[in-house]
Amino acid sequence: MTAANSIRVLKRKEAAEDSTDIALLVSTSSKEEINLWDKSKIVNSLILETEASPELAQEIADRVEERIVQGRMNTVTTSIIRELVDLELLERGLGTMHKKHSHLGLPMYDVEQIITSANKENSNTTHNPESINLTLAEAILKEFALRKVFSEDIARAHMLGDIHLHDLGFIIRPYSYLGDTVIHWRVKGSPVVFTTTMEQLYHLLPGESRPEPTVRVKYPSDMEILDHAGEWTGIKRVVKKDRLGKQMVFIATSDGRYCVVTHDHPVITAEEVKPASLVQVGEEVETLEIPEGKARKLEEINATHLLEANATTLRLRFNAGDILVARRRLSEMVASASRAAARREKKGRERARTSSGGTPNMARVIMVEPVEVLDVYVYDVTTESGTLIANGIYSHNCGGHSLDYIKKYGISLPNITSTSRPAKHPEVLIGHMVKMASTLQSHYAGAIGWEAVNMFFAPYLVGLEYERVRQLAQMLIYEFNQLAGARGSQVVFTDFNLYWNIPRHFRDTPAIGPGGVYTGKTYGEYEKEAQTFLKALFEVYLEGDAMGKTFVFPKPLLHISEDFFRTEGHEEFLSLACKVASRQGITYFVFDRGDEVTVSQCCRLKLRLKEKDLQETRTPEKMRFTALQNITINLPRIAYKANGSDEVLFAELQKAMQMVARAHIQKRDFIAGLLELGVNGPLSVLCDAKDGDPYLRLDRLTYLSGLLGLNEMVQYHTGQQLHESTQALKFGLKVVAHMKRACEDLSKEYGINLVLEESPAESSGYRLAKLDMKYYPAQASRVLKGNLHNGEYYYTNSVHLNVYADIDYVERVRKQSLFHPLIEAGAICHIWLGEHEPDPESIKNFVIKTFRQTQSSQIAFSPEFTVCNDCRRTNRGLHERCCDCGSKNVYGITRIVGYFSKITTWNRGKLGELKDRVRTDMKGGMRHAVP
Amino acid sequence: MQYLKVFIKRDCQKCPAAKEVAGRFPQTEIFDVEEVDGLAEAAFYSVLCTPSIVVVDEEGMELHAWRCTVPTTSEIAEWVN
Repeated sequence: MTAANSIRVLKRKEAAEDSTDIALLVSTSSKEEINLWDKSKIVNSLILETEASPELAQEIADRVEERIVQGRMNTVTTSIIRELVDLELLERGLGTMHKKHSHLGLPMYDVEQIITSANKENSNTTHNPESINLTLAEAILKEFALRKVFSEDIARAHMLGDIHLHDLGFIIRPYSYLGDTVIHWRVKGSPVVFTTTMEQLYHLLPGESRPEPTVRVKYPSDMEILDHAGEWTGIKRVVKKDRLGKQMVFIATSDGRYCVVTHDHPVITAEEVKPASLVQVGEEVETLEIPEGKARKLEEINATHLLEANATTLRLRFNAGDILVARRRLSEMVASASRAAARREKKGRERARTSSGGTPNMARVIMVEPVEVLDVYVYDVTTESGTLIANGIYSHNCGGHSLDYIKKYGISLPNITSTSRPAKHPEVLIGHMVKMASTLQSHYAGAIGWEAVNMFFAPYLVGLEYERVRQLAQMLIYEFNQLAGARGSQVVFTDFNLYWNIPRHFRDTPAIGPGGVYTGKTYGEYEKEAQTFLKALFEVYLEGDAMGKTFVFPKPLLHISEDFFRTEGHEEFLSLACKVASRQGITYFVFDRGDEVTVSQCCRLKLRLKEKDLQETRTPEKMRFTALQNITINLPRIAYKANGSDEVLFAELQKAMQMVARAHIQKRDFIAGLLELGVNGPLSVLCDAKDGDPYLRLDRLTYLSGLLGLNEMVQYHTGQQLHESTQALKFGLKVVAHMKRACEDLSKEYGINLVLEESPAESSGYRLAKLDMKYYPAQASRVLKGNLHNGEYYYTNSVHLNVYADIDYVERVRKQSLFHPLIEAGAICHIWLGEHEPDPESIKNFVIKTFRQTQSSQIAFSPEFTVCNDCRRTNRGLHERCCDCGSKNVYGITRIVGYFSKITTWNRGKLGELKDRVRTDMKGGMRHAVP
Repeated sequence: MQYLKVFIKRDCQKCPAAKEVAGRFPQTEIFDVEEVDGLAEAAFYSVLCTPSIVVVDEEGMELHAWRCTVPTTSEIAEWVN
């Protein structure tokens, strides 16, 4: 027996071939198997994983075997073998191969620490088996992201603390028609109607854009398509997408029509809108007959027989020459129709424009069957009305964190074993909303914000007694507050955008009611129900939970605008909202000034709706807004590097912003790559949008650039903190103005929407402060806040003023608000109340004053509470003992960043900040906290 | 002593008029809000649109402002002496 033959390999589970095997083996725990030494396994893994040449792989394997024999090891683990191979790669200077071959894992000690002690990175999580799984998974994924997703310089900047890359995680996918679906369209106002396939229409149009790797879009400027009841509707865009193996459904009607659509495509039956797979035989759908053209002064050109010689459709009926001629002729006909339309327009003959294109009938569905198709692409036409006639059948083309999405489509998610029809009762709607939030939360790193919740609920509340409405409000708040199913078994971060006035952009939007059907009214007509529900929600918030303690989620974001003050009953309601703010602190006042329309989510993320977004307010189910990633810049670090030089400071700032933009692009490319895996990829759940777009729309994302420690940056650079002089404040504004301009320039350069955000920085603020104490101790110790001796030190959040600055709260809000117009994606001013419960009228006056006299985008008032585990009562202020029963079994609660949490779960930096916060009773006076 | 701070930008129709009327007073400073310094100064005085003219004292405290409008010479003269 040779020496090599006597080596035994202790094979660990990681050696299994796919992830299912690994998971399976891990779960069956400690069975280890012993294999005989086989050098060829090293050779194979090097070839497979690093693309090494067989000769090189053999050479390395020989060398590793030699080392093991020389080391007189007669038992080795596969991870030791991997380390030895890595060592060989490194010694040969093969860094790239080493990177590919390296192992991601955790030392035994670290795993033990994660199991036995709580992770305080996020104070919303408690210590439990799920949070342990989360921490373990995060540790590996963070390493993976830094090595694989981001480039080396960006990963290095993160590890050194120049920037902080916040959490990973996001989504997409397509639905639609097959390419041979027949549609009827024309150039606006033209008497000539073209009957073609969707595929033909797509190929006739100029100018393809490719927002995502699997999606191609064309935007025709002047075309309309036949819609409901034979009316014409404008075509907004025509989309061609990779089908990605999606199941198709064949639907046939009693009048001989048929169409093939994706299984989740919304079909309009006489009763409701439902996914194609749920349509039953015998249900009625609307179909359409194209009448003999001349009677209606319309000329129909049917080109459906001219199917393309397109390999993807596998239907070749003509030779290539014929098709070329046919296509050219079709293009010519379209062009001449366009010219004719222009002439008619000139002569003012508007009749053809409005003339009806066909006669609607009702037909029974006679067949609904899943079908196998060979088509690689699916097509979709998005219209102004949201519907169209396809193959003569009236259909839908229209998803989000809009309640209307689930009101209309019910719940149908790939990760849930059953499908629900749209809710008919408000309780069911609450259930659907909770489940959707739970699924969304497992796919998004940030909070789940819901738009205009009280308004979207209103159609379900018509005619209900106030007591019942209140019961529903209570149910909604408790359900969300106790929904601990999200990552690491934490409560789902939820934000409710709430309005006393029906926002202008929704006033004329057709309302969706019970059963997912349009009620025939607009949301503007449900103002009273929306207000009653809002009042009920705030009454529940005022009461708090069974212990009288404030609710944490869903965070109520009350939008204040000029329209708010014009709406009847606003005074009384604002008093209630301010009473809630004073007693429980949970109200967030969000200010919408001028024509600005915003939707808030997360701790302060506020997205301004652009024109394109506002168009969607007509079909609110489509509204969903996502930020891809937040990357925070460590501003004090830049001041340390600049060492007093303005020139270096702005140059470094520019460099950091460049890096932020590049990191965003790298993350986007990574996500796009996952999305390309489609239904079989990890992001399939949220790909499953029921409208024309993928759930995550890469072309509509916001890319965030966060700020941290402006106060310390300015302090180090100018010698004064933001609140200490006008010069310091102005210098701070200059830094942020520079960042804003850089965002604009980089947005243009990279074709993204990069905007500034006040990073909540709950854990990143502490992490960056610690790293600065490590790499720049002399500089950092001069400006860091908190206690440097016991580790409770921190950087001041975003652009905020020093939390213990000796200034009045009015002045604090006024000064901080100067930054808000520059920080497009959201900013907040905190007013720390401590144990005080100010007069709600003072809060009300202050809210109004802040709206009218400052540019503040959001304010919140934060009281502190002590909750007793023994007598279950809640008292104001932070105490070591219960004020009622004297028990020491108590815990404190207050706002950490943008939400309330237990102080025992806070990281040390935040504990340091808590001790420093200046509390106010809003009588103009201030009080420092009792440590 | 009072000073005028004039906030302007390119492609702003009324900006030349604001520049012209403010230019009749000696203590006038022009800020282009498309430049970083101009934008920072505009943020400090809560100027969100152009043209805007802010009258300040020697300490830089705002005494009066015309936001998004162009005042007449006599209106400015009431504040500046």
